[in-house]
Amino acid sequence: MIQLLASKPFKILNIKIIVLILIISIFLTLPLWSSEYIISVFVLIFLYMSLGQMWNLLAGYTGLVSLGQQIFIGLGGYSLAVITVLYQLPIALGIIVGGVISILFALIISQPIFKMRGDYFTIGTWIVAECLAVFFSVWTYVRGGLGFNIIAAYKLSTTDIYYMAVAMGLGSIALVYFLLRTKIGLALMAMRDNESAAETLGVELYKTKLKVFLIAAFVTGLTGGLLYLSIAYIQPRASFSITWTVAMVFIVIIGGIGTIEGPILGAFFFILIKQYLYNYPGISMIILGTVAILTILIAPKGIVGTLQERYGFEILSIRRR
Amino acid sequence: MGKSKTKKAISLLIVLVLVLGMVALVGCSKPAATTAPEQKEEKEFILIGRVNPTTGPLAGFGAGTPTVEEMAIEKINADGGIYIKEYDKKIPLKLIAVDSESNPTKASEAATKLVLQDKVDLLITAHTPDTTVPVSAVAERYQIPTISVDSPVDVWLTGGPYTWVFHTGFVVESLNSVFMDMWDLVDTNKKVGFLFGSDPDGAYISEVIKPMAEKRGYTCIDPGRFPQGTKDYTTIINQLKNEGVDIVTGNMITPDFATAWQQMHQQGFVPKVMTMGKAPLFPTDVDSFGNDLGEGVTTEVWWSENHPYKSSLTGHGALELAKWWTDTTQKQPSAVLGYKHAAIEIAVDALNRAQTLDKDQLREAIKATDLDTIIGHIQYNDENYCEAMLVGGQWTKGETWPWEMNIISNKQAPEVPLSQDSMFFVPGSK
Repeated sequence: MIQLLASKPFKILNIKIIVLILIISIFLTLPLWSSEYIISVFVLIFLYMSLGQMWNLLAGYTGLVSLGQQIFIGLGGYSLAVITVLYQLPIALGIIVGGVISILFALIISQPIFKMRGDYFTIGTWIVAECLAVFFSVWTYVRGGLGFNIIAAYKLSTTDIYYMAVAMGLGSIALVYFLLRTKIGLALMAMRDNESAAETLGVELYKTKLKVFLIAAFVTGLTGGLLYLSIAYIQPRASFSITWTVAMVFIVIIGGIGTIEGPILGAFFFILIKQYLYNYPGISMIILGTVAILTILIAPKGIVGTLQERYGFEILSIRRR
Repeated sequence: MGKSKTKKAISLLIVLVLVLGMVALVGCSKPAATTAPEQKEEKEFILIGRVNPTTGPLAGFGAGTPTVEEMAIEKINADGGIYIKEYDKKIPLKLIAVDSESNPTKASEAATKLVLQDKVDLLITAHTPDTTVPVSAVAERYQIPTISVDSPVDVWLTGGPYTWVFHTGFVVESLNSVFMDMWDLVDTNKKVGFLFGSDPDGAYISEVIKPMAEKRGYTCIDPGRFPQGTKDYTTIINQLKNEGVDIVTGNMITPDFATAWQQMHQQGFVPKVMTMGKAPLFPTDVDSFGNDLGEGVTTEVWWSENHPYKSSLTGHGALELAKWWTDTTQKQPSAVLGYKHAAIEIAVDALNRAQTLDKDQLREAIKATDLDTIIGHIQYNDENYCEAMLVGGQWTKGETWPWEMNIISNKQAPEVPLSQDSMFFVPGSK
């Protein structure tokens, strides 16, 4: 037993567990020792982390480069608004309904959208999102362009939203981690590397892609609901805006595509840079764009990808031992 | 194998240090950020947070911030600031302006940052519902006294009822009345074509204007709403052309209206009257239509250098403020100047009366505002808003500036003098 505990692999495992427990403890106790502003920043970090994980699952592991993930943010946000404002029902129900509607909508659009490949799939998803923005702008049931103030959200404190965001952020990491360690994970990576070869080896392309697309839609829908719990005002142009997906792409590129750690680090950098740049009105987008371009030029695989390549850095390994 | 695992362990430690460092770094900001007024620690400034559309399609509204506000604040700070009883001294004002990038989501995030990080004592929001509504939502959530100006009252009210936010703006009925007052000045077939976008104000105004116009004897042709960024208006133009409308009205952002107006001219459809909300409010916007297409376009005017009101801070009239703006920036004055200045007037007046930074007392002081400002008299009603009066204006080529505004209708505010020139049809119309 002592020999086992002293062995190298066990030590590394121990360090990993200690580090993870430490990090999780820090985040769980954050509201006890930090300011409300820092908590609000971490709300955004965890929610964008969840969005980044889902986009990475699609683009980095499945090869589905979607520019339409804002569809599910909008659906999640609008579900929350309709449930709480029009029907005066609980917030939790609004968020869950957002996830369910996102899955259903993803299922409906998957039929035509999966017939498109590569760039066509990318553009197709974007077009669906734009169509939804137009539709919601004229749909009187959701007040058209007027939108909703999600007044029920005012009652929640930043700490309440923070714990929901922590659950969402860490939950999305766990989901991707365990999903990639299943058979689906193996199939996904085989598909990403060579679709035809994967199919020859018995991977069911359509079914596997659909499963991942639905999972990503569900989690993005839930995250959209939580985001709008924090923003408390929704209208079509902003909720179905491509800027959401641009943020996801930025997070994944900066962090490292095809790695679980990438979107975690990417979300940290993205939100911290964004917060800092509020002090420089008018030039924030220029700086953000410059950071993205420099990262692509210097470290095309992102921060985590480059660390993995040079130093074998890995925390959340999905390799089977 | 063993070597790579050692590398992993080192990497893990590096990450741990990084994460802890980051958390410690942000955690360090806590003491400064959580200093409460009741602790009566030294307070250097009374902080006013201002969310402004500095960039993006609403940048025309945002132009002038923070210059105008800082000029107003300078006057107060020259006297040492405002007396605050819990500190028993005068404290100067400081404005923190952030950019919403004309995006409601960013406006909300920026306002949250102002409240939670900068710990502002008061928020000011202005310029269209895309800015005022999300910022008002943040103000209500965090219970921050807030002064809101310059966006339609009705649209702002859809996010209410408000406890912490007080708004000054025109009501949509007044806007529509001004439009129709102008149409009544000329001889047309009384057929009105709609060109309303699907943004919050466009969606709301289009609903209200139809019954009002019909009541005044106008026939409305409504091709429906369209999203911001629409590039092809051919279908709408054809419908309005076929219906033979003499008047076109709507509410659009500047780039979209420029596209639609150019396409109307290209396709040989020039109505006698083009009355547009939002897009042609500022001379720079009118200039962006290109090819002198601004000539004859009519719109609502909330404030101009001819408005006969005076600043409660400086005692100067609208003309002096406009002149100061031109002398300082070499730019033509626009309607937003008055509202930007008035927001500071309301804030200073409330702070002077409250003499405290206690949020509840400050809110009550704003609620009790009864003040003559550079945009007129401000007094809030039970729904926390004060209705601003409008006049109607028409753009024409000018002598001092490339584009100048003629005030052609003043039924709502007869104290605002009319220009010498009367209303004319859009050049090229048949």
